[in-house]
Amino acid sequence: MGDETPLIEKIRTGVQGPQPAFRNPFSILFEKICAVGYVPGLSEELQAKRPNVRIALVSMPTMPAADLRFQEFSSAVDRSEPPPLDHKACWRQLVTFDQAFADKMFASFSEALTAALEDKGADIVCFSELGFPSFEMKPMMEAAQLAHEMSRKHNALVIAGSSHDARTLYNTAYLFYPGSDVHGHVFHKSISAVSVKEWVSVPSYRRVPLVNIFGLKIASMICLDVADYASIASVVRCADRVDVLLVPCYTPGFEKMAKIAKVTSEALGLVAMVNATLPEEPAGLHQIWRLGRKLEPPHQALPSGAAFITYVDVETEKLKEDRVQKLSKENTTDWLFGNRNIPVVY
Amino acid sequence: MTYAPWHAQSEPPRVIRLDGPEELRVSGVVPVVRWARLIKYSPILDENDTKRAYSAMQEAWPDWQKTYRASLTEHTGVPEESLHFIEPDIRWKRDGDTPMLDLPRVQARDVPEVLELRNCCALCIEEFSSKIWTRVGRPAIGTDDLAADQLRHVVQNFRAMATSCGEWFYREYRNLTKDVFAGFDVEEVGAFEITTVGLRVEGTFDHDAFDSWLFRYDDEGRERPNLENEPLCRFLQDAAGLDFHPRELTSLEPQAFWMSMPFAIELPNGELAARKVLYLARPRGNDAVQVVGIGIDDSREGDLAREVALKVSRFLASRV
Repeated sequence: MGDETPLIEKIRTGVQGPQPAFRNPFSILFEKICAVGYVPGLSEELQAKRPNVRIALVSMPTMPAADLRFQEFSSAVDRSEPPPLDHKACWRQLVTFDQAFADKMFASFSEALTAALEDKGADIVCFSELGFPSFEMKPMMEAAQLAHEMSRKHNALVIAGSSHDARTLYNTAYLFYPGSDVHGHVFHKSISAVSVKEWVSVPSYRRVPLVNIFGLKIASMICLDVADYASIASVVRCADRVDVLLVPCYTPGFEKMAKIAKVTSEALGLVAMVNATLPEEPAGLHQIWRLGRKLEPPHQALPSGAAFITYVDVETEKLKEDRVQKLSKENTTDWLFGNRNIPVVY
Repeated sequence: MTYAPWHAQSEPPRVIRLDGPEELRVSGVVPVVRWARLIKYSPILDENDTKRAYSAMQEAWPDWQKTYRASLTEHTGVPEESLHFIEPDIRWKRDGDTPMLDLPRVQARDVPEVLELRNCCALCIEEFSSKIWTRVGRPAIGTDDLAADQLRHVVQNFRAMATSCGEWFYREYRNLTKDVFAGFDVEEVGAFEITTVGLRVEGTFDHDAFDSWLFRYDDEGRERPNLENEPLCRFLQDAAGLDFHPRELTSLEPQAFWMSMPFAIELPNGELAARKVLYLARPRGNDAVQVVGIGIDDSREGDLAREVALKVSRFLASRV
């Protein structure tokens, strides 16, 4: 004999069952803080699904911490007083690299692009934070030109890392795709990593870029921004339209990012964080999480030994299937981000 | 003393509103009706069983498609020559972990009431029921928005088409796969309808404006459906075919309930935004449920209704 429970009661039970016992009260208020928006200009051909997408995560070389040189700025546009200015709040500090290091960075940048795109056929390359070659806090035009040309030649997306920029006092990242502007699409870090002596200015309007490419919707943000609730919640809010989050990082505290990567991957799909090479610190080179499970592909040293690459192969259809399965059945993150995958019942 | 739930109160409670409901200029409506027969196989199907069902239907298709086309004409009123098959064949695919048999999507554009229809079978390989779906809507691209005053008439038509075509397709599916499932018990669990309507609006709004049109907040900041918004209530009546005010729903039908489903849309400027669709769920007899939703659609493509209908369908389907 069949179950005689009315169908409406089965549905009500099914809907009420996964409601979180607690809902983060901040989850209703963050909506206006950070925007997530498509990067324009990608052709339909680039957006078309590829069965397999290879992502190369490049950990760029760094200097020993004791050798880093910082330059100080003030963000005050008018330094007249009284009334007194809060000079400490206006203080900025950015890292500056000399010609020798800039050349080393460019050589590694070029080597990594060649290895990833020409040798290994990567579709996407993501560099670590502060991995975009710069000289005296100005991004190198040669690096932009190279990234632009390589992305065009190999039909690839290049998230080229970031650099400190003295012109804006921002930590600015660049991404390139076939048809992009020669200078790339620009986006900025929104949080200063003061524990590593970074004191940057930030844009008044937070914006996370979203790239629709190869059948995947890929968002990117820089390092500590993922630890900022409003920013990461703004991405999760749009989880219906985001499959992958790529995060260039530069942090000794990289292992602490694991929990953030895990929970965010449960809400989104694939989260991959790539760290700079920090030889003095026991920080890892990557945190890669797929729907709450950690992936541990091996990293490889480039021939010069200065940088490392980790490859992640994504079966696009399988990722989407697994997302549908998980997000329509489980409710492991709605308590944190608010109801995104399950209905609210009144 | 029995506590009376908020929705059973005859007078609306005093509330604090963040904003009053704004006058939304609804430039058009986008309705999508999904209807499904629910059946449970015993023993539980495995993937091979679903592939055998696919083979059986695929083998029958060359001859059966003539009958299929004629039946679509019978159930939609659209002449055969106006029915265009967008895909040629039946396909097997996965939606999450559920094998699906998709029949070709069919469009009718050169007729007074354009439409798009697809039949499909979601064959569950877990303990939940399989669903034999029929979806009726308007083609996503290349059609003008439907005027708001046409909503009740069009949804009634779509509902009738989805139900009658769905019942026919269900019987055909059972017949075509009877040998495949000869060793299985099949329990008919019931039917559900999921109708979603997107209200197309012009202009730039912020999230709060939309929220306050669909929802209100009580003294403790808890969200409730804004059933004091008469335009919203009229749309709900039209979409669900109610002959009473939605405020009376849960007192007249105590098993009914309200819910909302969030979804991210792409705005015309390329930014993503979170929107919510307000749904009512009500019984239609012991073994049928109607789920009807209204959402405000300022997306670039006008795809809120279609996408949220799919999300709600997946969610509910994974629970019954």
